[in-house]
Amino acid sequence: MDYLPVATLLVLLAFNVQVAFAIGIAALAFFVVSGAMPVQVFVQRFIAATQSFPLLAVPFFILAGAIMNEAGITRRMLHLAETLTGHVTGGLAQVNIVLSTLLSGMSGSANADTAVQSKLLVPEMARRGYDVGYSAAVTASSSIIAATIPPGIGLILYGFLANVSIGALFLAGILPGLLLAILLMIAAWVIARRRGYLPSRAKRASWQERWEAFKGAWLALLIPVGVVGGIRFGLFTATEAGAVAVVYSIAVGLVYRGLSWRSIPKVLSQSVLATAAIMLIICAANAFGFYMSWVGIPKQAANFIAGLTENPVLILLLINVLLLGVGMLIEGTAVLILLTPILVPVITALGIDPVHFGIVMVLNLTIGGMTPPLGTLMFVACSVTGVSIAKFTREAAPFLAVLLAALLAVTFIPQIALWLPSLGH
Amino acid sequence: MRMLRRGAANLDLGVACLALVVVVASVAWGVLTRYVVSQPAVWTTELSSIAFAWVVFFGAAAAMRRGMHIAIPIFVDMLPATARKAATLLSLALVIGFLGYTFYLAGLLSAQSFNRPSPVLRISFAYVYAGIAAALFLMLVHAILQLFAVWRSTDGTIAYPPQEAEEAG
Repeated sequence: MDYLPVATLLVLLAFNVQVAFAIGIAALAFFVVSGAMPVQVFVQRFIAATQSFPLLAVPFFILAGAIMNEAGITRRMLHLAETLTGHVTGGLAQVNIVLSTLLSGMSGSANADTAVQSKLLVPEMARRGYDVGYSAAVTASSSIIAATIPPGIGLILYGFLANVSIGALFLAGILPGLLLAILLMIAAWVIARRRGYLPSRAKRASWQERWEAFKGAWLALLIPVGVVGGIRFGLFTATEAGAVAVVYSIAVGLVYRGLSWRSIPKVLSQSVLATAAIMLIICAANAFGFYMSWVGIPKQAANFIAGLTENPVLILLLINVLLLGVGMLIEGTAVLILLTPILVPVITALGIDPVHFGIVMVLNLTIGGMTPPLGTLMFVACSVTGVSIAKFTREAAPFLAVLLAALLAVTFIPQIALWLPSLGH
Repeated sequence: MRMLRRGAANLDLGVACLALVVVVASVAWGVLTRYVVSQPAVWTTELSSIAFAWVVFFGAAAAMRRGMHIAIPIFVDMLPATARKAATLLSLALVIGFLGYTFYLAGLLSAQSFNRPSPVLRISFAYVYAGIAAALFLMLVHAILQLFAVWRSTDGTIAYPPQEAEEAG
């Protein structure tokens, strides 16, 4: 009887009911059937998440990213990335990965990055003789960097759900993101060399050229620096950093003359829709969370897993396998929202740092977007570039291997995530 | 007339966008006054939370019309057309029931909170909840329209207006 809402949820999800409504119906079923408290509590819990100040960071960083993109900052970053790595073998693949890394400090969503770069870079890569499948795979895999480098939407959601400092999560995500970038660049280089993909420029750009390109983009590069620095030194909270980033990006957009007042409604609409789609799931999950803690599901899950083994290494491995499996079937953000409240008590009971675990979980679930049958990154990359799912999967395999290796490293070497937040404490 | 209809149809998105502007402006103002003025504004947190509720629920209504709420179609897509149609109708009926009941509950909550003003701005929570109830009602209308569209379709897939789907991308 206690598990009736969970069963309801799974059946509804299988029947193509939108995730937010499936969770909402399952939660409402509990309130109606159990009779333990007035049904009014359901709607109060359903609305409660929108009254959370930390969650305001979600629309802020989505909006800042959309404004920056509209302001043409992507092209400036592309120019900078081109002068940095265009001369290397498979130059455009390197440029693609460096661009993902540069943009990750403005965008918190791997899906958005995949869409932008699939449109911008893949046609150019194809024109220069790069395999389209390879180009799409490089684009999708490198966009995962955006999930861990601040500001990441997944990190904000995890911070809210696990009651962990979003500032600490932002700091913890930096090194894992850079590690991903380096490993992906190596993998892309090895493949490009074997296939003879040419550099995108004849010779290395001079430092003069690089400096010029940097000057064209540095105002935008200040965003991640300002966000992380401002939070670290206590100037503002993560949410306030988001609002400041929005105002700042409007100013930069006007300075660069890429932003017109006419484009504001479009940018606002995009951000509202993306925010609402995520937040409605959070709202429903908040009501569902009431049921879960009422019945004691997190505790039961903790007991169950502790009964299997008490070895933290094995448990982390187990959780990673579980998340990869679930993440292949359900969109990563939805899984994050549903499973964080269950898993965090499990790992804290074992002495695992919830900040460290947050990076592992967000990285893991974003990687799930690369795989069939339901990877969102894969769908976005394939639909924009016109590559078949089968071809994408084949070309993405080596990058997926690299991403999984990075996931293992981040899981079992906690210092990669925790070194930066520990500085100065 | 067409513009009027589009305007009415996009009312939800318009309200949500305005609310988002309020959220951004009030939080930014809160930071600014903390560093510039000796007396930081105390109302900004409250106003931003109130406006955020409207961003989320009116935005969710707009997202619903564009088919932007994620689902897992993989199993239903494996069914033959008639079974898929039946499954989609059934799940839409459930969503309609859910939205209808939640709308009723939110309306009730609004009516009960007339004498509950917010701490600083003294805005009655009745208005906050009434907005949420209105947005839930819009979602209910969209769900019912989708039910009719699926009923008329042959294979049970939900078609979204192309123009709006494009805006969403």
